[in-house]
Amino acid sequence: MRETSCAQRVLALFTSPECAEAIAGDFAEARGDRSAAWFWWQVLTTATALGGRAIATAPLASVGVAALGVLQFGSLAFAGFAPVAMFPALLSTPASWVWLSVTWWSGAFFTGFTLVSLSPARGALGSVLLALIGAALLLVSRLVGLDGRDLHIPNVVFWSITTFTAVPLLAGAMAARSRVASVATAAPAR
Amino acid sequence: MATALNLGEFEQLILLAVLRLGDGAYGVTIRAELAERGGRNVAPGALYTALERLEAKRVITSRMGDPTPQRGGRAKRYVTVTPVGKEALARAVQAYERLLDGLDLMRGAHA
Repeated sequence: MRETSCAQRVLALFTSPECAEAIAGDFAEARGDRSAAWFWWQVLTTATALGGRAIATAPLASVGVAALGVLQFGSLAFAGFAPVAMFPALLSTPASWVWLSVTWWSGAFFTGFTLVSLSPARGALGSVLLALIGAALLLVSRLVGLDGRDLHIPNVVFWSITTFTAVPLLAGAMAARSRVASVATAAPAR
Repeated sequence: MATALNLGEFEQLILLAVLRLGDGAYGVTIRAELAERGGRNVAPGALYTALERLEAKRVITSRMGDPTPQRGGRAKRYVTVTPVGKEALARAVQAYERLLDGLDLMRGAHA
């Protein structure tokens, strides 16, 4: 039951809330004695296919929304980093890690939420693109310049904070998507 | 002059499966029908994207059913072929028939 709800939330990032509900229900029905791995494989491959279709249908709009997200999150991340950069003594201290985590993660959540609120059809997809591209760039940048210093604790903490930013970004998009869906469901009843 | 709606082979198979299933056509049964009669084990992602595409083309319509416990309380999305879809499908079948006329594929040789 909980898995189905979670799957529905993931699918709702790429399709309408009704379709997401029906597809999650289809997987729950077809699952039978199959494993959780089978269930999640179906969910992820379907989400990928639906996302691919959404991008192919309106590539410019999808990239535009993602670019808007880059601008918004970039501004918020810079605003979070600036106070730490202004006081070099704060760098690599636990206080700076907490501050960066709070500002960047809340900024990421706000960005995902804003993108979906502005564009319910493309915002979630833009958030996913942003999260994937951001995580891929971070991973590549780490792998390309990997040397002994990269494994020092401050670097690992910084890298973890930045990489984990994708999670609140998607959580914000999911929260806004649920809100949009509940508003749409409630509207006809009025 | 309006352009005639063209359907891909996979889309035609889905429409035929939906027509065969009548009122009981939804994701699970359509996949099962395609596997049983069409001999195709269709990936769910391919099926659901094709259903979205067909709905955008107004070839099918969908309506939500009631939630059921075996589906984790989720509703089924029943699919129906529209008159536009039936017409497009009939045109595709006629095109096949015209192209097949004079061919004997079962013997593996051209007549």
